[in-house]
Amino acid sequence: MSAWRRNDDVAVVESDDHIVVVNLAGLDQQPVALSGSAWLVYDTVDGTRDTAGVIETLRTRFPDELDLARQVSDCLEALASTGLIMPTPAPPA
Amino acid sequence: MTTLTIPEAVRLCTAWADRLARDHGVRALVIKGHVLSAQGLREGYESVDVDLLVEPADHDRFLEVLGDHGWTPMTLSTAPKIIPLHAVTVTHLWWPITIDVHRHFPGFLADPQVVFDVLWQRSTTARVAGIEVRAPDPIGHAALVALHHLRSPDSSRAASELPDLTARVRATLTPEQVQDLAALAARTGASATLAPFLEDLGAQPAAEDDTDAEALAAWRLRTSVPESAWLVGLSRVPVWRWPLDVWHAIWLSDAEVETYHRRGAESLTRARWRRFSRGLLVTPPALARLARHKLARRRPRRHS
Repeated sequence: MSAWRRNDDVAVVESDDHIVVVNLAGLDQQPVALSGSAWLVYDTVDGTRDTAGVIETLRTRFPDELDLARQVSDCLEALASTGLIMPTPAPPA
Repeated sequence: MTTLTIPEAVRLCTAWADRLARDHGVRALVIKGHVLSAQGLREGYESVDVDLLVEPADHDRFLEVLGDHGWTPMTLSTAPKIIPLHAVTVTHLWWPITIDVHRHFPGFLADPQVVFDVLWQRSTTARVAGIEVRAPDPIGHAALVALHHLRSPDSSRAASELPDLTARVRATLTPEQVQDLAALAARTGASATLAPFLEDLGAQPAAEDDTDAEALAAWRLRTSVPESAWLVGLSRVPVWRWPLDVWHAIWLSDAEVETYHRRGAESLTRARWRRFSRGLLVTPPALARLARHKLARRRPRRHS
């Protein structure tokens, strides 16, 4: 599976307990606030981790969270659907 | 809907507006605001709106583009202007802030297209909300912001921020760059309007610029008697229209009172009354200052 990366076209303003973002590739999209788990997932996306890698990274921080894999997968899909993150293109063969 | 704070909205919307202009091939410079802070020309002030200086030829087209994305112009003030209207303010349902779309910037008295080209040619980028936006270089920006303060030299903001700007420019620009600033002023018709700022910086006067005398006179009237706009406006219309114009000056439309004069939850009637009371206070001294200003302009200048 491809690694996830953040969209370079997203403007980001960070606050103490959340971030607000707006996707400049879709200028009619509303600004979005990410807090809590959504912010953590977005923050973990670094261009090298795929879905399993993001889950694994967050598992070390939340070892007792039973439903973590599903929550992270859903969150990644939601972030991707709004264009905030995208799959890293596969390297040329 | 996301509830944005004003500082968050200003940063995000700055990046958004810059991108919108680029995507539509409109040359636009982000002015004032966070760029000014990033360039070290201001500190400790949170903007409450986004300011864009748009290429004059594309100003109206850009307003249409903004309209296509949900931005609508605020009610235009019918108050007479000594200096022609230079910006349109637009609002949006999602954004808790406004964008001021400048066609030109008061105080630069050369042709607005020439001024824009000068500022654009030396423009730079600054990072706002993680995005590079196009902005004037520090020298052009310093000139622009100094003009912003010199337009209302008696305001409390100008009284504190212009000396601060002067100190920051003095601390950051080399003597050559200060001369560059004076040259920029000459090319943009701002040698006279920026004179107090340039003198404070110790800049040598650049070559004479061909500033329009009428525009300079309007600038001087606006900066020395800021309350005189209605009086000047009256002097420009036939006498038979005075009763109607005076009545309008006193009353204004509901939309204008709502947009420009109502404070918080006060009623329109109260806002009107407060504005009228202030008008009674400032009109006599404004008349006196206007008369002195006109007399001074008529008096022949003596050359030693």
